[in-house]
Amino acid sequence: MIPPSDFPRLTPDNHHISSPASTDYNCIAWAAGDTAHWWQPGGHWPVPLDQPEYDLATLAKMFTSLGFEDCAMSADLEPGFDRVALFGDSVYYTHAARQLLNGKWTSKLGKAEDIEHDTPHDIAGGLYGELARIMKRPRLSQPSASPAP
Amino acid sequence: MSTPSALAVPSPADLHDRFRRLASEWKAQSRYLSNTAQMAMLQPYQRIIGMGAPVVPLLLEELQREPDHWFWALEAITGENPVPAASAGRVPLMTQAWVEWGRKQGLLQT
Repeated sequence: MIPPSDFPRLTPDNHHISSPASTDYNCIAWAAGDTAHWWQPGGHWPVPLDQPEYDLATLAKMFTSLGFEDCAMSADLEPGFDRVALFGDSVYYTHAARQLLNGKWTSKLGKAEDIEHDTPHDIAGGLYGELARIMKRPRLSQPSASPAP
Repeated sequence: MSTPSALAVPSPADLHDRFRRLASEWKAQSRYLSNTAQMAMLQPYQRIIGMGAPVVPLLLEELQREPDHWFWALEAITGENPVPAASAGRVPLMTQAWVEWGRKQGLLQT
């Protein structure tokens, strides 16, 4: 069971579990459409870094390198665009979620399951802190299974 | 002057019990985290790193039993990184690299 203490805004009505648990990939990989890697600065990361950094700016820069740009925190469904939502605090990025074609959102919860949830805010307010940025890019194709780093 | 008990060298049984307890705490605390740095800064993980070289065989056995993100700790303690660049981020291959390293070092029997 997903603990309410970590995810106080998740309710039975606004989410459901959509995969088994896995340590093979994390939320960052999942948001980028990859289920074969655990994405982390200093390890598998598509942006070269002089020194690994683990903050929100590093995460946003990585998604920028994948073609995303800020979209004024709009979580609306926009045909032809992919969206990702980024979460973090003053020290670390904590999470990334991806919008689905139906307008709902999908999140890989750390080493646990994927969930589908109604809005990015549903997973905020606890372990992941608050929603920090939403970014979008023109949809190129369906997310690939394992993009190159 | 006597050695403070907190700094006494633990017996193998005590080391094993302490590792098992800390590993269990870390797995619970890190289950929903994705940022490896954040996971590694959790207190149980830091305490495992602080156990030093004697804990490496236990880490390797645990990694072999249930692959998880023990790579940061192993690298911090040993100063080694046997994971080929092409395997970075692939947890099963990273696990395999560390297990093979452990066998070569005589730290894993199976």
